[in-house]
Amino acid sequence: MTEHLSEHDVRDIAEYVRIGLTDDEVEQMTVDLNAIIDSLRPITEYELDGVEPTFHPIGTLSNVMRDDMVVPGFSQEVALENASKTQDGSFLIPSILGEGGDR
Amino acid sequence: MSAVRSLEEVLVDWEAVIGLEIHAELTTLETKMFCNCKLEFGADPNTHTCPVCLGLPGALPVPNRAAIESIVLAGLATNCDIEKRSMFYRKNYMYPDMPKNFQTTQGPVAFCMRGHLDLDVDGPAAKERYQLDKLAVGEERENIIRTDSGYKAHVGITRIHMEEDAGKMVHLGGGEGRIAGATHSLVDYNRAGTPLIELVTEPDLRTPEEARLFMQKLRQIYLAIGISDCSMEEGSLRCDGNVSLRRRGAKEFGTKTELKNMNSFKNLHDGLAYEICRQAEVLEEGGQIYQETRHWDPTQKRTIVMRVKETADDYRLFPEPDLAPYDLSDEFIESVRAKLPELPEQKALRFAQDFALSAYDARHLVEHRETAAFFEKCMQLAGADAATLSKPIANLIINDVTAYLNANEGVVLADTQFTPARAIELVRLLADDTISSKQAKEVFSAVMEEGLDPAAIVEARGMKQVSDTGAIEAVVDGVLAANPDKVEQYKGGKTGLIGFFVGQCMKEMKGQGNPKVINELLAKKLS
Repeated sequence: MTEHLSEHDVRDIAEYVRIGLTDDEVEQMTVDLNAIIDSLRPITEYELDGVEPTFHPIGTLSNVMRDDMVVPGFSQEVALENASKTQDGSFLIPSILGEGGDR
Repeated sequence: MSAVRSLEEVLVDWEAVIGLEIHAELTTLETKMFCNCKLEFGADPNTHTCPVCLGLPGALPVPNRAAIESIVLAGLATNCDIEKRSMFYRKNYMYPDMPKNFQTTQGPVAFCMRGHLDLDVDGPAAKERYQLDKLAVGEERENIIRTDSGYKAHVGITRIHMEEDAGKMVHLGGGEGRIAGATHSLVDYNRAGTPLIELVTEPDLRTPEEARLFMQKLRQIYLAIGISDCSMEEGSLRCDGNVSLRRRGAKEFGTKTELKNMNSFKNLHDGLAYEICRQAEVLEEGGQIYQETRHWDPTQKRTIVMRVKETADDYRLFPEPDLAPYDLSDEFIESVRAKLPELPEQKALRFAQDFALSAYDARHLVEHRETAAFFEKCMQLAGADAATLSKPIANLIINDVTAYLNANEGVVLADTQFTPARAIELVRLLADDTISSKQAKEVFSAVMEEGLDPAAIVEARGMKQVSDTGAIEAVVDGVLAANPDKVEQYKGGKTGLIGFFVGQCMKEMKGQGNPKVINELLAKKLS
């Protein structure tokens, strides 16, 4: 088996996806992930000369657009239906430290 | 830490390198970017949502054609190349304001690439850099051209890409809605999925004043093409700044910080100015600038650290599989180009040429669409006199009207009693010497307050200017006879006394004497 991912890579990935792993689990996960990547090896063995790269999974479709017209969506009640906690028409969530993206 | 040296002092030794990232919400559209939910600022929370903008499993996004048209229009108005082939990407991150856990944005190729705007930096605005350029020996900037009153700066636009806004969060339990110390947060997804265009400039700006002018010019353009209401207060136009310093003459860029929360033109300028001074102080003390995000606090007048970027963020950007790529046709691009209105810069050029105005006056007239339209209406009414009345009308709008609107917040010109017809009447009264320029100001105020025509006000107040030479001559003779000592001094060389004589005559005539006639008669009699 080739080592595609190191234990260090696996720790990084675990952090991205917010999964806490013990040292033992990191070790086992590294073995498992490398085995999964190995199983994809046949893909690299296809003869692909002259095949155009697929740059988007949606084949030949392009320029799909809709008109700028309002269609009513959810009422506030429906929008909040699945929320475990609400307040004043809003979703109530525990405090979050840090910030989001770079919008 | 407080910045001790002034910006002017700091910029003698250091060159500031500034780039901006400007987000504009496409508020003039009816619906969101990828769903048919209504766009509405200030609606009850969570009343404009659907499976798409709430990120419910299986919901499929469909782009709003009007949003794509808007960004292409923005690109054409800012000299960008329109990329026919581009696509949407997923920018992955976890945060409660983004229920899908990714923001739909664009990848390496955006709809608009490689644009530019040229800034006219003159008047007091040129000071921040103009004098400094003279100080910086051997450093002639490549992107500026000297002009009579300042300089023109060429500012590159890297790209404008299409994306969507996030929801709104209100933090509870901390001070003043701030996240620090908050125990809970409220989330409203009405704004989630609002079409947003992000413009990124090249690091071509060198002073806070240039940054402010860029932002103002871009705002005027966006307003002219009608894609956004561009309210910095309500957040539909937002600006982040990247700032770094390097020693004058150095080629390498320094470490940059990213500045947020500059939600007015003044805050944009002051935040950047503060950050430049802060960085200079740190560097001069042998310290190090960290790549971090800082928050401008206008009440404390300082920037504070929001987040340190230890490693590059990994957003795992990949093509959005649920959205088809774009291959825009020439027809589509040309149909958008046909909607491109006259831009403020072109309008100013036309005003200057057609109505013999200075470039400076013309630029001020087009700063607001309303005043530009008002001026144009006046010129139509002026007919054959347009060329002679253009300058006094321009002065009236730039000085009196602007001062009035600034003093009465929230009032727009159309709401006032001042119409183009009344403006023309007023400057005609001034032009034919019926009233003095001082009286004109009084008439202007009276029109605003009483809603009467200028001629009626002049009549009612009996404020007609006396231009009759015989009547004025009598007053002039009287004033000269009453001040023989001053007349001697004048003839002895103290010509500045002319102002005293004019003042005395005006006083005698209760301000209604024609100053031009008074001056002429005084000059004749004193020679």
